[in-house]
Amino acid sequence: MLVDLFTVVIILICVYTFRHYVFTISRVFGRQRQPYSDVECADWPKITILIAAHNEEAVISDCIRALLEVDYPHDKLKIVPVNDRSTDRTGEIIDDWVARYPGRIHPFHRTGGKPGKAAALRDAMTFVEGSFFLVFDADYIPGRALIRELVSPFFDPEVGSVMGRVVPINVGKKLITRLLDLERSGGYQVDQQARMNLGLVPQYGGTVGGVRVSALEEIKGWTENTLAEDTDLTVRLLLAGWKTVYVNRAECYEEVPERWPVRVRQIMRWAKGHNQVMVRYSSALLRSRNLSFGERIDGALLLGVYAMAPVLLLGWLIAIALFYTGIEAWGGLAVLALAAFTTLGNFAAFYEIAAATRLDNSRERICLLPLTLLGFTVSVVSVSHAAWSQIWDSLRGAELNWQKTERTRVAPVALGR
Amino acid sequence: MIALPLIPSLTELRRRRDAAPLPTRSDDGKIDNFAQSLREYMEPLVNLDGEVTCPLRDGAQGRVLRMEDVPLLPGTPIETPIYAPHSLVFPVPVCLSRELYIRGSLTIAGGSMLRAALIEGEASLGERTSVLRWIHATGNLEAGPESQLFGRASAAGAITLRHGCTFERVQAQAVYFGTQGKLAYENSPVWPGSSLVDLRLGRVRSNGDFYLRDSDAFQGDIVAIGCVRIEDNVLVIGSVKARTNVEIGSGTHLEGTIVSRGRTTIGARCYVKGPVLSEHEITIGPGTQIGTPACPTTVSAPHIRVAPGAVVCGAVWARESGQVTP
Repeated sequence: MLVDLFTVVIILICVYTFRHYVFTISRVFGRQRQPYSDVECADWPKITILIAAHNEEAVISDCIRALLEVDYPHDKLKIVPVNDRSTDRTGEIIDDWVARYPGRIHPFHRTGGKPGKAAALRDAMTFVEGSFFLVFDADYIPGRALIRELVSPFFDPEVGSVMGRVVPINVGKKLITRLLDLERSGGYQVDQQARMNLGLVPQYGGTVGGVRVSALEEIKGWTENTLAEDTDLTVRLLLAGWKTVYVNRAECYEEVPERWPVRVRQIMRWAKGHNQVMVRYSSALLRSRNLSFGERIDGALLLGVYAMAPVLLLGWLIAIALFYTGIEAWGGLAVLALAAFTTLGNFAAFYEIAAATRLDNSRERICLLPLTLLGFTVSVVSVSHAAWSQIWDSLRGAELNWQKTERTRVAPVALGR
Repeated sequence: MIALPLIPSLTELRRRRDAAPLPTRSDDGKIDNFAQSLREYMEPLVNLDGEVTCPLRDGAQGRVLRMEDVPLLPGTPIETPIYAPHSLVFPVPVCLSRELYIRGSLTIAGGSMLRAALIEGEASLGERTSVLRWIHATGNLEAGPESQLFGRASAAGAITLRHGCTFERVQAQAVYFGTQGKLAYENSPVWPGSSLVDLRLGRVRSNGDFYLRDSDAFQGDIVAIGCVRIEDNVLVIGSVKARTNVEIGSGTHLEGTIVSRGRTTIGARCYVKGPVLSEHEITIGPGTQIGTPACPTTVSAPHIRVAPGAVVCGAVWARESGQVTP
């Protein structure tokens, strides 16, 4: 029984290892798919930009200012800051911008309703005009060309959502921010783009992204009782025959956590949300006739990515148990096999990060690669804890609580553009 | 010994040589950004009073060129940045290996080579002229037969690419291929109103091929896992997406976009609102118009082949090769 379980763990690890290596090779050597990046002239559609803001007084001004300066027809762009039950000066700051730019900014001051970003976005949908809307978190700072880059894929009638690339702006603050910067690079520059290259399943990330209104209506809108509304949306769109497109050039600055407890809470939320979606939709995904074989498999693997952490921990425990029980044919080999895959094999994720830094033309930050093991360890433990607590909470019937990520910016940032 | 592999990491943590945020795109991607940069670069020459040369900000010695200074020996290389305060005519082929800025029109003999040029007027390039990086005209731009336009070619007016021209990125109010004709449509012939995507026409999704016959009419978006074949004289109000190829017959009007992961072939005398995007090749038949001056659009693919008589209003971007077929 233990040996069988261990075999399953090893196979799963091998599958993910293979997946990440394939992604890296595709990104470095394969044909890069960016079919919508050349759209320079077009009959640009009307869009609405939703800025999700809950107690964002430190950062909201930078976001609004950047959006006012984007290169998109002003008469086709509506900016809607969603002030979701803020108790700080967020509402006041938004109203100040409205007074300075009447007609361009249309605030939504949400004073009640279910907490959480998904619920706030659902309520904000009544403010959406046009066929598409983009979502930004309040700490994001879009560049001038970003909106056109995110809207271009929507000329493709198969595209239901679009995702850009987030780039940490507070990189140099601490060790944690430098590690997260590397992790983001790997995740976007390699992982997302590779999935785009291979016609698999890029993921809508909930920010620096956009959604087609008719696609959202077709899948009956946002799911409220979810911690990962972005993953939930990606999968439901996919099942309904809509594609998510990743646009690597659509880069936007964001703020990453600067404290480990904040990072732990963030990743636990992501893990729980992902696992929720996995439980809800994996079966439908694997059986869907609307999807190619690759999309089905990659979609399932995408949903299972946070479940791999507790699987890995379980594998370590089993390996140790097999070693001490002296079971034949595995025994010491078990520990060795798992250690090998955990380092060299699972090193595939670090391989992605290394490839990403090369593609970003970074030089010295690659030296920090060994230290990402620290972040990886924290993630494995946090995600495993999230998985176990989620199982326990579901057995108790406890409600999921959405927690906001803490901001650390204290003043508007000067980007020197 | 154990800590030895961590020395580079700890050194970088301490020295922070690469701790700044990755640079993100800050420009607006406009094709005439190069032209604006050149104006700024050439400003010292523009402001010269009486002198003929002066150093520019990169140390190059820029030169003011007047008509009387134009070389008459074919193949004369000019290796300095050039500014001309008036129109210039190069009657013999020249090789300009640095930037050229003319405050007037430019006529250049066939067989010439330009690196980069900004013309504040009309530009006429003789046959087999090569532009290596970019050229921008604030008037019209005409490239003679067999010319090679590498990089970007743009004009505030119209661009005419004669037969055999090769190009990469071209952008103008109207880009005529082969001959400068008359636009069939100044505005969309069927739907001159607001963006069709705002109308939410609904979509048809096919798990195989999708086919429209002669003189059919269809309203809505089409998404096909296979290919899309539209025959002659069809009216489509909506966009088309095919995971493989798109084939459009002659005389078809398509009020929407065409997106294909394979090849796109558009027949003769068609009208397509655009954009037209393909991940392999786009072939455009004679007499076809894509986009209008009121609503310019984009045609983009790694390879683009355009028959003489076609016109695109907006941008044409051939990532690997673009050609006006003979």
